[in-house]
Amino acid sequence: MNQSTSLLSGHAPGGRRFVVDLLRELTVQERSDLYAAGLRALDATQSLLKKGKTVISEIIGPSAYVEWEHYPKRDAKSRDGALFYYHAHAATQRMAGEHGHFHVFAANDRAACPSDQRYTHIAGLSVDDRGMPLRVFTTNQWVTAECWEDADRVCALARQTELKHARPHKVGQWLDAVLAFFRPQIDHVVHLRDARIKALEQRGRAHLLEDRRTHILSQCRIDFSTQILALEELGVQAP
Amino acid sequence: MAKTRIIKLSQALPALALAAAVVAPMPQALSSLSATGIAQAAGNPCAPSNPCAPSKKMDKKMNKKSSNPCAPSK
Repeated sequence: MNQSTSLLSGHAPGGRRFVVDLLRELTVQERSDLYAAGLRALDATQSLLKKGKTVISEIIGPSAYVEWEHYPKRDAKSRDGALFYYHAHAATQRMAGEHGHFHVFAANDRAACPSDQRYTHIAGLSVDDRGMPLRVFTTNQWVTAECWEDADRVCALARQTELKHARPHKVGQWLDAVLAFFRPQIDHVVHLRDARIKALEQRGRAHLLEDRRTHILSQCRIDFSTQILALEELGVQAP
Repeated sequence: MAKTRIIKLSQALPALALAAAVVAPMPQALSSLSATGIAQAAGNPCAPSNPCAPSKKMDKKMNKKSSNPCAPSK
């Protein structure tokens, strides 16, 4: 993969080789922790499936599923101010196979954040029509109206964010596990986001964060099986 | 009956795939009448649309009209 192509498009390379290389950069302990998160993510997914449910049916409930509406309607909020919701864009704006996506935000109490923007977007998580993870992505500032932070700070906020106490609890727990399992990809797209902004600004794009032409700044395909097989290829075993 | 102990997570993948295949896929999102306006607002910040901005009680109408499509509800 041509590095500059990746930077300008914001697309992280896909495939098992990329994932193995990405996970190889972690310490043995971090890979082991990731495997444990994978176990939690699979358990959370299976426990819903066994009841004939998916993470999507759990969050939408009996309501009609309508483009742009938030599920839950007023977003799911945790005790510390972190929040998430699920929605779908218009069909023409969805990635292939995407049913919808979660937006996950960390609370951000930094004094410099405007009073109505005390949150920072961690990542978007696209899922298919059975709730299986497809992609993580970052959005432009105007898209989320968030308190903007650099990549290192976003990654730090992501690690402090817990959603399990937000309702619906099962969705919050599922998100905690899935986001932890794909943490390396989230870190990657968040840093790719900043690198892409820098690259585009160097090419003359001004006011990029407010540029309505740019919705998504970076993205990376994800799936359970590739992540698990990559970890096992690196010798990680269940505790 | 005791559960079979999973030594490798990859051993759980076929069961996951099977369980997912049995569950009915969720229906796609219904079109929103306001979607067109929302899309236009993305290109024109002064247009009255706001697809996924915070759903405040105070400004529910304004919610659909602003231009931050993926902002969380406040």
